[in-house]
Order: sequence, then structure tokens, then C-alpha cells
Amino acid sequence: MNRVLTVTRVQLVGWQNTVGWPWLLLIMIFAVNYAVFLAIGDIEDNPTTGALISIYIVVFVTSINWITQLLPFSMALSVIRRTFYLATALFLVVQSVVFGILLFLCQLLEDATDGWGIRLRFFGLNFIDQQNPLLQIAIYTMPFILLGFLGIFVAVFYKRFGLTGMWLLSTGTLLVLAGLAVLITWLDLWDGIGRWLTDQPMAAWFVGWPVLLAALLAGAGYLTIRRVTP
Amino acid sequence: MSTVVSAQQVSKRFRDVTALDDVSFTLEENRIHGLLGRNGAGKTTLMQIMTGQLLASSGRLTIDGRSPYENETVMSRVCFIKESQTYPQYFKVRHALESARLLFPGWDEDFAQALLADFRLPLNRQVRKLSRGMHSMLGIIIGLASRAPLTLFDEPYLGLDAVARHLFYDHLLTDYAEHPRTVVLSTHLIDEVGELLEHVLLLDQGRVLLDTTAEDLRGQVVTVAGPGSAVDELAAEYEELHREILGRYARATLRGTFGTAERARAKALGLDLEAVSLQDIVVRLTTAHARSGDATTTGTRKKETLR
Amino acid sequence: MEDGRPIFLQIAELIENSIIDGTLAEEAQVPSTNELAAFHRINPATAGKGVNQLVDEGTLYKKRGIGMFVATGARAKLRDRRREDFAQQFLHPLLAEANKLGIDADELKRMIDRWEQGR
Repeated sequence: MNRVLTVTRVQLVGWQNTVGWPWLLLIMIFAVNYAVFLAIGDIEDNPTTGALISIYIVVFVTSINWITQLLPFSMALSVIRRTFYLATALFLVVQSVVFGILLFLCQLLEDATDGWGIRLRFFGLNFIDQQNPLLQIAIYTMPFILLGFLGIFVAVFYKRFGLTGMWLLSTGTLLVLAGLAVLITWLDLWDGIGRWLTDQPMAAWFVGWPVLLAALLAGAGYLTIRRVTP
Repeated sequence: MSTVVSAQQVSKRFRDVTALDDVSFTLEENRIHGLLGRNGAGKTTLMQIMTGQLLASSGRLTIDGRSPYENETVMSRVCFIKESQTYPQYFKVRHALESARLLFPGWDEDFAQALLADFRLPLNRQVRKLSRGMHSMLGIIIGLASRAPLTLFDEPYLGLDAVARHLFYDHLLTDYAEHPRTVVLSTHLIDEVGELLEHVLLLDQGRVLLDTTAEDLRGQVVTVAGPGSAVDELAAEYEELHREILGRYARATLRGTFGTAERARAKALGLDLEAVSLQDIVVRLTTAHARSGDATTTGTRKKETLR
Repeated sequence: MEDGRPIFLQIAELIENSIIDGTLAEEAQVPSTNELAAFHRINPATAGKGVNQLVDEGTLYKKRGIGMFVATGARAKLRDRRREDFAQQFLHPLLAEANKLGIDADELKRMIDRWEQGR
């Protein structure tokens, strides 16, 4: 466990470029949004700009870089694969929670200032107003975790099985999904599934199912990394 | 002296290439071992198996009696510096050193700083913008300052000028003397490191061609020169690795025991004895091996691990 | 280090030379194995082997925890041994070459005398 914590500290080396960069980018995008909406003038209907997604994309790319860049380097410094993976997973979860809380605080600030004085909705999401704060934080946090483990898994899989493996994985996934769709159509289940989906509570939509999926990806990544060559 | 690395019949096959073929040897503790051989001989593959970066296809390789693969206890005592090491895109020199300081239990920061000053490496330069030589220096600094009980250098000085290479040798020797550890050095520049080595492991086409102490090897191979007939007479009693002829004058590289009596005999035959450098020994052995390998490919391939 | 002979023998001989020419006085401390290794850029174990040979022969002796010293009487002993070796090492090849060129012993002696006078 000690070694795992040490490796997470290595992941903080040069943190400005990993943890800091997404926020710098988000601030820059926010500034552009702010300037644009200021120029347009009065905003009706409080639209969400959607630019918030940029930070999720950056974190997804960062998670791929962990495997393609930090893993070979860490292994060169005698870190074993298992330790690296656990440290990365720990780092990802902690970073996601911290980012989630920060986004939640930004949203609070946005509400308090009536959209930064110009009724701009940059951080706030229409569908999660009026919820309890913990659930709101979770809704900001979960996509980080899910995308992070997806990036890690894809990168590990690529490192282990190469381009051919990636091609087989993506084709296989598509075939399975298509097959499921055909099966559902054939059994005439779409209405039932639609009803079941809309019946799902908010917590299941934004926390329960993503956690399950992330756990599956994390487990698959763990099994795959054991035979990876740096 | 105890054994640190032990390999028993280790083979590694990639799709259509056999990188290592039934390799067995041991490396003793607190010595400087030279891992020699031509490009593609299997040196890097062997070091990658030794550091758990690759798994052998068959056979068993242990460090301190245990497999290094995914073994934290073993790996925390190992440092492997390779020439082609990549660093994260955003890393500066100081980031690499900071990571190494966190990860190596025996890290000596003062020593690292002294090396940094000696090699004149800029701390705040991005690693990917370093010249080839500076890139090598960074690896060397990490390898030396890690003070890992088992330190492996794979071609550590590509692009380094002669001054920097000798800085490396000097630091390696003095620090090794003060903090003995097991060092494995793989290199092409055999003449430069020949006298630093205590033990030599020579690989050729994935096989162990030679596994001996450097001192023994030096006394074992000699070049004799003189009249062809005299060379013939002496060569009959030795393994002949190489011969050059100029008219009736001949020069042959021979392998065997050369004590005082044998030397006197050669002198009596009117032959001159010349020293053979480690580099030449390796060249002669690998070319002699390649010739005999060619000759036997049609017939049954003879086992020829020379000892 | 050059020459075809084992490096440890060359190291031993270097120390012997220093003792014979007086650079290393009797009872003086000899450079440590590590210093020798660093100076000649050779493996410390090799340097140690050379030094140990001199210890075994009684030329040097160890003071535990302090270092290696030249034994009393070592200089005279080494000189005697080198004198014995002199004939084998230098006279033998000299005579062999002289023989090849048809120079007999008397002529050789005269050459040596002339050489001495000419200096």
C-alpha cells in the first residue's frame, strides 16, 4: 500500500501539466463564453452552453496518457504493473471527486451571481437543479470516473493487443450491440425497455449504472495490464 | 559471494524470432558484469526479462531466488536504465529526477546533484528537447544515484562524447567501490569498459557464447605471429579463432592456456606473442562462432557453449 | 594498462617498481584498492588481487582498519629477486639477438664497454 501511495505521488510530479491543464483550459473556454455572451447581450431561457464537456474530454485524454506515457516511465523506475494500476485507479477516483466538488462549487457561485451577472449558464445543468448537494456532486464526478476508466482500459488493451486487437474489440462490441438491437426488435421489447429506462430514478441514471460500468472497465483493465509490455 | 541473478534454460520467442535460446548463467553479487554481443544478440531481451518487463517463453530466471515478474520486493532493489527510455511528454529533467527520488529507496540526492553538475545537465529543460547525449546523461544519473543493489545499464551512453563517457566510468568505479552493488553493463564499446568488468557474459544469436571472468579470458586468448610453419606447430595444440597470412609470415589468434612455459615455448619457436584486447576477443569469438554455425546448418547443429 | 599479461600482475609490478625506486618508502602507506582502481580505471577486484599477491609474498602488510603498508626489508628483497630475473628477462633476448646477427660474446662485451665510455 505504501508503494501505491508513492506511485500516486509520482503522478503528481509536474501536476501543472496533468491536473492543472484541464482547469486552465476550462477557464479559458469560460472566458471566451463569457465574452461572447456579454457581446450578444441579454440571454433568454438560460441555455446551458455545453462547453463544460471540454474538461471531461481533457480528463479522458489524460487517462489515456497515463498508460501510454506514465506507465512505461514508471516501469522503467521499477514500478510493477499491479502497483501502477492501483495507484492510477486511486488517483483517478480522488481526482474525479475533487473535480466534482470544484464544479459543484462553481455551479453554486454561478447561481449566487445570477449567471456571472449576465445570466450565463456555464456550470449549471438544467436537469439537476433542485437536487440534494451530494447527488449533484456525484453527477459531476461520475463521468470523470467512467471516462477515466474507459480511457485506461482502451489504452491498456491497445498496448496489450495492438491495432489488430483494437479492431477486433471495436468490431466485436459493435456486432454485439447490433445483435442486441435486432433481438430486441424481434422480441418487440423496445416499449418495455423504454418504460423501464424512464422509470429509473435519477440516482441510478447518474450514479448506479455508471459505477457498475466503471467497475467492469476497471476490472477488465486490471486483468489486461498484468501481461502488458512497457 | 552469493548469486543474485540465476537463469536456467531461459528462452524467449517472439512470433518468428528466437531472441533467447536456452540461456543459463548466474551473476554473482557485488560485481561488475559485462553483457556483450552484437546487435540482435538478445542482450536487451535478457535484461527485460531480468527486470520483469517481459516474461520468458520457457525456463526460469530469478533474482535473489524469486521471479522478478510483478514482484514488488524484488523490483524495489532493481534499477534498469535503457538507451531508448521514453519519458512523459511534459516532463522536464527535474521531474524525472524527482520521480526517481520518490521511487528508489536507496536514492542519494547529494550524489544526484553532484552528477548533474558534472554532466552540466539543465534541470529545467524538457526531456524531449534534450540532445541524444544529454538524454543518455539523464539515464546515467538516475542509474548511478539510485544505488539499487542490482543496477542494469543497457547501452547507456549513445551520443555521449568521450569526456562524458569517461566521467561515467570514473563515477561508476568510485561509487561502486564505496557502495558495492551488482552492476550489469551492456555495451558495444568493449575496449573502453573492458578493464572495468570482472565478469563477462557474451551472447550471440540468443545463446551464451562465453561466461567467464574477464581476467581468465585475457590470459586465454593470445595472438602469435611469425613464420607460418612455427605458427602451424603451435596452433595445432590450441583452438584457432582466426588467422591472417602475409607470404610466409602468419598471425593467428589462439585460445587455450598460456602460462610461463607456453610463452617460453612460443618464444623458442621464434614467435611473437601479442596481447588481444577484450574487444578483439569478442570479435574473434563471435565471427568464429558464425562460421562454425554456417558450416553446421546443413548437418546436425552441434552444441557449442564455450566455457 | 597495456601488455598481454593479466592486469593484476601489472598492478603488483607497478607497486613493486615504486618500492624499488624509492617512491614508496618502507613502512609507508600504499594507495588503497579503490584508489588504485579509480586511478587506473580498472575493476576494484582486479586491483585488490594485485595488492593481495604482494601481501601474500610479504612485500606489503595489512593494518586492520587503517590500510596497507610496505614491509620492512621489502625493497632489498624485491631488488634481489629482480636481479635474479634480470638474466632471464634481459640477457637471454640480448644474446639471442646477438647470436642471430653473428655477434659473439667478446664482441658484445666490447660493445658494452664502448657504450659505457660514450655516455
